Amino acid sequence: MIADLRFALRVLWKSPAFTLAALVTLMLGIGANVVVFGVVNAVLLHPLDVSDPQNLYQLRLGEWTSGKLLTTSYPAYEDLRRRNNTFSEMAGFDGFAEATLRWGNTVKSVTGYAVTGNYFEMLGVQPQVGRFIQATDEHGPNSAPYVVLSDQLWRSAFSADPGVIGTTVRLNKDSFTVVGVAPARFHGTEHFDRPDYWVPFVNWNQQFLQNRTSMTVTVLGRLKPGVTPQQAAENLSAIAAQLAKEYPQTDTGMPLRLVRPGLQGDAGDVIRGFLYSVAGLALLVLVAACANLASLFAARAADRSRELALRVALGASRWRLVRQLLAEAMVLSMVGGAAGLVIAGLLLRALDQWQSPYGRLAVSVDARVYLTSIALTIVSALLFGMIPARQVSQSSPLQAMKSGPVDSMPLRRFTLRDLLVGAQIAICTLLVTASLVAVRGMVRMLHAPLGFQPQGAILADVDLSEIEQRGDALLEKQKAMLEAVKGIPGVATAGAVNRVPFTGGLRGIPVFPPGTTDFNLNNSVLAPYRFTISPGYFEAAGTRLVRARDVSWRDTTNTPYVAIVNETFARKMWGDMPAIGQRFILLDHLREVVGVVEDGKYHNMQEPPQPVVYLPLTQSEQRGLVFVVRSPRAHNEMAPALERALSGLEPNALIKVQSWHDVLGGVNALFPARASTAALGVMGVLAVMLAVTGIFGMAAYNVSRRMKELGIRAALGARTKHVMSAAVGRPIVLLGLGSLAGLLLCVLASRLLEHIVYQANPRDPLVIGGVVLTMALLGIAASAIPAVRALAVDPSKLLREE
Amino acid sequence: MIKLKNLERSYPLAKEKFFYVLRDINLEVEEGDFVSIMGPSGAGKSTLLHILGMHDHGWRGEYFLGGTAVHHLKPKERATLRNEQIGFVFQQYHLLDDLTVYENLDIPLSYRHYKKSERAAMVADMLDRFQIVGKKDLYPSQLSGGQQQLVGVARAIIAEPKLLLADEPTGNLHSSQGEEIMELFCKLNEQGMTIVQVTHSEKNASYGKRVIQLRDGWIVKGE
Ligand SMILES: Nc1ncnc2c1ncn2[C@@H]1O[C@H](COP(=O)(O)OP(=O)(O)OP(=O)(O)O)[C@@H](O)[C@H]1O
Ligand SMILES: [Mg+2]
Repeated sequence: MIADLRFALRVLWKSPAFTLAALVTLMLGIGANVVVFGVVNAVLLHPLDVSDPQNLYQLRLGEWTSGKLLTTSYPAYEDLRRRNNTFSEMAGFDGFAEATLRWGNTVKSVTGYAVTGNYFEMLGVQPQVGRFIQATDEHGPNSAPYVVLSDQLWRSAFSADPGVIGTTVRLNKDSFTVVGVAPARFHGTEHFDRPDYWVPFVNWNQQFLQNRTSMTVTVLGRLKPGVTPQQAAENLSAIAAQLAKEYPQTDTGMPLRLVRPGLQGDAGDVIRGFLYSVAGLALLVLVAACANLASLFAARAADRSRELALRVALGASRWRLVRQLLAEAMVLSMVGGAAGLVIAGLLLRALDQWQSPYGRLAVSVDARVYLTSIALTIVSALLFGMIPARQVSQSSPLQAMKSGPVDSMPLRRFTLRDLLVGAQIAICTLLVTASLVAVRGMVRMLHAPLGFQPQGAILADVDLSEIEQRGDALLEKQKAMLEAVKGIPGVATAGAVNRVPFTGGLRGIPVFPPGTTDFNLNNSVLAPYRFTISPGYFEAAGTRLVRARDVSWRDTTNTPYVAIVNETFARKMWGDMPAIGQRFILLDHLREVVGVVEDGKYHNMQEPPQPVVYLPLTQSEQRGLVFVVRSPRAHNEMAPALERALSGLEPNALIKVQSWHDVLGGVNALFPARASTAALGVMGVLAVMLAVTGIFGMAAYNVSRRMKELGIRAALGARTKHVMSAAVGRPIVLLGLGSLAGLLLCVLASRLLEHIVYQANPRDPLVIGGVVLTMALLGIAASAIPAVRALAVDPSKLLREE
Repeated sequence: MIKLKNLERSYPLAKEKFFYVLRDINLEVEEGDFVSIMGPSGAGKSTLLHILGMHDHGWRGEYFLGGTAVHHLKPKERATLRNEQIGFVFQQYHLLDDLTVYENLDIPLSYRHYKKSERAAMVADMLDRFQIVGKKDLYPSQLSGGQQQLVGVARAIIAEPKLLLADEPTGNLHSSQGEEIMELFCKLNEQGMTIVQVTHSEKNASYGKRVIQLRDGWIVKGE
């Protein structure tokens, strides 16, 4: 065995170019797979850091619900918890709590969770300092003014001081006593969330605790032993139906189902689909790499067939020869795999540090990743080592020794090696198509109309939640702020909105027809997103007003309530009828449509056209506002001027100024498209590299082995085209056939692609054209050098060599 | 048919120095002639034949083939002329190992403008003439040396060249097999084919009409 290995090393050392090419191929193939597996491992396979994660479930409404984590109202949560007989415990949280933290001189924007008192107990985590919020803390409204800090916030804002326990901090206007710090590993039940703090629901907004229509509680539960998720879901759905009877005004009785917590509810399906599909493609890259190596190895084995036959004749057993070839494959594979693991480790570390829009990925190279890469390495070695070994073990030594060509069977025109190269090209085509589809999707998204113009606009996010004024006084203040902003020299237009698109937090608000008396959700006719705007917002945002007028300061609570809708809203409600003058009930008021604006994107780029309603700030109180400012002046001049103007009017307000472009970049608007384009782009490039080396290897090998034959052909009158077709004809034909097969595969695999790219369409003529062009260029690139060598063949010289 | 004037061929040795393989060759071969080139090993016989066969272009001087000044032709035009006029028999047979006898015979035709049906007929005719119909599906490695050379000759003449160049066509053969090939050459010559062969054997040379002696790149006899 040792002798085999030593000999393998010597053989590989003697052909450094071959060895290097093989190593790089393996490194890329295995490296790519380890990276993808590392991410899959971290995101999908890693259990949550809570006790007994396997019986922990999250409740979802029966249908796909937008708004991500929201399922239940707080009262409904309590009903579900009390009445069910399938869960041993149930807890709830609201992951959308944002606040301004004040402690000493520190002022910080933080995000946290509101949780039920039994949240930590149910999850079974232990605090690293102090204690957690407990069920026994809760005795009705405002009874538990306690906050638990995350390890990260504790370190960043409190310098990891254990003495912080017992001190009082302010979150917005309310004071909370710090009772404990969560361990560093614990960040709730969502993989991508990193809450800064946890506070009890009972100390949160009191209104909300009684409101049965505010569905902001995400419910987690632990199944009783022996209960299936199916049984539990039926149990809960029955309770929901019961609740709908008891509270016909508010509860819809929508059936409930259970999902695994961790991946933003139903987004988990999308993320899982994406990651598994990418993993599938990565495996294809490795298969292509192995096909590549197998054909190289088979070629070498064929070249050495005389040597190997001689060894058999001298008494070597076939098994020894096979073992020796496998030893070579193993040595290569081990070194390549190790290099791949090193590169993958570096990449994973970089990914670990990277702040994705979903939050930190927290990938690490653990034992499972190591084991996987070892398994991949061994399987690859067997895959590409077996084929030549089989060839050797089947060939007859006498035949091999007697003459050059190993066999003269009728199938000689289509050898195993051809098949390998063809398969590799087919896979490459598939991957190239996939990456082009992704790039197309990305481009389409970048060019999709947003419904606003972020370029050249500046956003000033002003939080007025700590300001005492209410009603008209608040409105006056906001109007004054807007006037101040408009007064800044160089400001062309300015307006305000409660939140800009793509910053989340959007939820459908029910619309009822005029005359509705029973405001049961089942009677609502539409659930548009709602924005609250000041006059001038559309102009500042660059949103086109299609018909009629903007909102005005003259629309007040004493004048008729008005609304502006987007085109989708108008079409869904009234079809071809003019929307202006139509009425509907929304948020307790009958409103009249006074304007229609163009459609846009609001939540993410993939969403279908969404109905949207805009309410005037004058008729819909709003504490937090984002001022949208458009100015020809440079951002770095405008930003300080804006901040000065706004804080001059309200020194206590928390103000954040950013260009709209940066705000968009920081949110996950384009993240899915970017991620898929990046992932598929890398796969595509790897595939192209493999295909080039594969075709080049074959063509170069062909030409070098057939120099003499080409010389004879030239002497017999072969012209350029004949020599070319003899030299590189076969690889080119294989390229054509392989590409065709790949394109067909792609059409068949478009469902797989749809997991990765939104509306993937491999039949897009531009994509097909791009693939054909890529493959053609690749063929030219890979066969140019061998072809030139073949053309330079000099018969008079070659023929005398014998 | 062939006229060479002051033809010379040299290979660069060290810097500025040349090794002359052929010097000042002047030669005329009439149409219908059957010439044997003889001389010791290394005299330049193969070199001369490859020049005549237009496999080698690194020479100086004048070469007329049937009135065409080869030395003025571009490589492409030379290739056309060669394909029209010349057939070549190699010393080492040089059959293509991966092709059957039939396919080996078909190659020269596939490089010239023949129709598919014509080609099939010509190959069949050739197999018949050389009595190797039974071997048409065999590979060169499955033939004896003599049979291989027969195929080599058949391949050289299948495209009906006016000039046949043969570099030691019987060098590796049994004398009886050699005689067979020489008799074939005589027959071809009688039918009007001009033949230039390189040979070591006086006996083979005697089949031809005249002998040219080469020594150290000079023609010493039979200009
Ligand atoms: N490419 C080359 N570079 C340098 N010298 C060469 C080259 N090709 C041939 N020669 C030399 O030219 C001379 C003539 O070679 P050629 O093959 O024509 O001899 P020949 O007469 O056919 O001999 P033989 O009877 O052995 O076949 C030889 O000395 C050979 O070494
Ligand atoms: Mg010679």
